[in-house]
Amino acid sequence: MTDDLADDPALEAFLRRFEPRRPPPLRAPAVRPPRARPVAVWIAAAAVAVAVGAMLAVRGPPRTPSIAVQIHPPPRPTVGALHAALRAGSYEAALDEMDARLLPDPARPGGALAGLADVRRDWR
Amino acid sequence: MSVPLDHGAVERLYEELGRALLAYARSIVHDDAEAEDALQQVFMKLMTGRAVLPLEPRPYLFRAVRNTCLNQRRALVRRASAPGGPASPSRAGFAAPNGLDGLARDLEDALGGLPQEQREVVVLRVWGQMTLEEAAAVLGIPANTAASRYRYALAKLRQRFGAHL
Repeated sequence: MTDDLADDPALEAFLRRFEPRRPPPLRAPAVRPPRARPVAVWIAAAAVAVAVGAMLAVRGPPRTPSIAVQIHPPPRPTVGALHAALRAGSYEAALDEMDARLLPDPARPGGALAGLADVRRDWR
Repeated sequence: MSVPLDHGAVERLYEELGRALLAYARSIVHDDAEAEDALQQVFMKLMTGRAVLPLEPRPYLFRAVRNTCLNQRRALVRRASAPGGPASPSRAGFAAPNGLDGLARDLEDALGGLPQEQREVVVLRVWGQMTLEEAAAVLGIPANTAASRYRYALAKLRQRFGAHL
């Protein structure tokens, strides 16, 4: 409908006798070669991998504290020993002796508590 | 629905529609080099798969050329303050038929004298062989507006070439 109102067939036919000029040939798209990563990148990656592997291999056992911890297993109190102490009237003294052996002596040389309490180590 | 194209199909389309598309591009940018470049850009996208054609490619291609030309014009306006070389010399856009030698340049002048909005419709209709509805779709205007512009353009061209009809 719209075309009918606007058409001028004779003029259109005249105009179409003039042929638009041909465009230049179509350019072929450029084919990019695959990007080769620089050799330096590979060398750097290999160096990082080697370094990480070496770190993991050389890593020794966890550091042990330099404090010499002497562990003295406490003596086990026996019923017989306590009974004997009771007959001898030295039950309380026997218990005190056991406590002295069972409980850690903070002042014991070379002991863990003595080592931890030695604040001078931290400031050396 | 769209169809992927191989290079051969793209080249055949270029062969079939290239002349009309170039004439249309020249109706927008007025510079031969820019018009040719716009055409190459559109078809390069097809060749490299960055654009796919609908089953009816004609309106799509003219629309694509139009958009590319308009983008180029905007870029040109942005660069307007920068010194630049002259526009490429205009080559004859049309080949005159036998017996009408000399009128090809007249036709160029006549088309150049039309407002761009009218010129575009004429090129789409006459050499693009589109209906006014299709031309309106390419231009993004109502069909009646396209018809009106076409009517005005034909009236001016008839004044110029009526004696030769």
